[in-house]
Amino acid sequence: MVVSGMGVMTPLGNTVEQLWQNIIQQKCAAKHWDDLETQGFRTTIACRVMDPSIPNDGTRGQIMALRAVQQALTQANIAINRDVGVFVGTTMGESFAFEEAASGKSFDISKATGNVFAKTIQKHFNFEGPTAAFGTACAAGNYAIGAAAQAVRSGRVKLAIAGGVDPFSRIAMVGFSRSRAMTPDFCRPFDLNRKGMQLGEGAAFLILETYENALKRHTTPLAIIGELGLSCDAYHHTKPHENGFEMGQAMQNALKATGINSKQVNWICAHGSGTMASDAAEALAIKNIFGERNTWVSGLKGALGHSLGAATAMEAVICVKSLLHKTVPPTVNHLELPSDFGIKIAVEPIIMENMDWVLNCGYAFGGINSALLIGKV
Amino acid sequence: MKSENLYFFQHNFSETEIDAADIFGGLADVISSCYSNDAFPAKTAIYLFTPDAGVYHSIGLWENALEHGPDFANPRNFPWTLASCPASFLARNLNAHGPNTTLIGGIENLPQIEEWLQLHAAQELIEVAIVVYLQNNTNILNPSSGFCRGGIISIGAGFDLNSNFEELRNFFLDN
Repeated sequence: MVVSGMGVMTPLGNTVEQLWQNIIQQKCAAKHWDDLETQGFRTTIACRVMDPSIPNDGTRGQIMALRAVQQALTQANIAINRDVGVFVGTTMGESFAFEEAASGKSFDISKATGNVFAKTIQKHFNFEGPTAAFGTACAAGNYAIGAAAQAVRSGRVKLAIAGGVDPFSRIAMVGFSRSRAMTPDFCRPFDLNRKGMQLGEGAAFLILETYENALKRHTTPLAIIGELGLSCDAYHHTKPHENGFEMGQAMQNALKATGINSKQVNWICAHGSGTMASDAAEALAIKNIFGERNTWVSGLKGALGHSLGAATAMEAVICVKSLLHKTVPPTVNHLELPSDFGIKIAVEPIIMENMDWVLNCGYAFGGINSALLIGKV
Repeated sequence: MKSENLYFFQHNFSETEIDAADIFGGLADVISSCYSNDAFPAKTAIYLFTPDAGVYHSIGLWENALEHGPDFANPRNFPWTLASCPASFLARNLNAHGPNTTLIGGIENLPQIEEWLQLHAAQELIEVAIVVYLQNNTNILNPSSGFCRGGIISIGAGFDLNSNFEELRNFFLDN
């Protein structure tokens, strides 16, 4: 199972190459937004996609998704439309549509919930195949990619478009802010003085097909998609279990299903949301599964913010670039590791002699845990 | 209703259940009561599909923010704005540590659920799978006017996923 194309719309670039360069140059997308201040939000710093041609209305997520998919299709040189599945992960759906409904405007549920992204992509590109919309919150991108890979493996589809999208959500902004989960300044993954998460937005999609199919089409495979490990804390509606056991189980499940061991993983693209509880639990899980300070770990949300259902999809794209460039991306805004974390944080880019596998982790409210292995071709 | 390794349930939400935790607590009780064993094993997976989970509370949270201002909105129901909240709530109530999946939409999701159920069973991640369809009545945006139905597949002796899932599919299609 390989990746043959990728596309993104992110707060740090609207092409995969722009995104990668900005990540490696340790840029941070966080900035103050006047509109959030005017509307009365206490937290006015966020990571948003800066492209004036994308409207701030109930089509924002769909347009970002279409542009990201178009990039991916172009790179993969896809000319078919039959047996193409569309697998999308999202948290809030087209959030603006819910905001409009709350203002008394008309509400069409089919244009608001997460399904709208998969259906819009299918219709726009005239794909004939199944669609699936995963509403598994901040782990949704990983779910979509894992499901797409299995659908190609099983032969249910010949080719899959897989990824995640979440347009900027004022509802999420209110929720996280009022739950005191947001940082007032910068997101600092795994930092001693981390103060919380930072909201982002965007879209990222990958084209998945079998290795044989990619070669038959004379397309260069970019990376291998391994297995997706899943688990559930079944503990609390927002907090992760502090023992990190089930997070570790998701990692272990991915390793076991892919048939590799923890020593073969060269980089962990951590969830690293920058909240006290989640980062502490994740550090413990990594230490338990990978050993103390054995494997490089980065958190990309210091650079990109947390784009909810799109986050693990964006991070999957960066995982692929990391493998291609044999470079571990940096953890932007990280200054000091708590002494008890026992993990090896990449503060700056690390050039590696070899990179075989990376593990892309994403967790969500309710203790939903995911870990996806991505390998070099 | 029980058919060897397959148990069916249906639950209509009551107008007296106005709190989301009450609504889904009631559903967890219904699911528990139709399962013959004392408790669900830790390797229990939940596959929930729904066209509208999270809709009511998403609109409600923003209404509250418009009324009181974003900095004074009540965040109590924020987790329920997420479509994944009912499935993770059930996982907590049923001690289900297996894969926890929420798909947006209707019965078109059944092939995806079947494929994952087969995969997760082959990977020995699950001993029991709970497949749930959840629908609120979005016309009047009232979560307590909805219903849930689904099946529990016990993966053990006598387990045949193809026939079990066929029965489950027919249950959803017939209803």
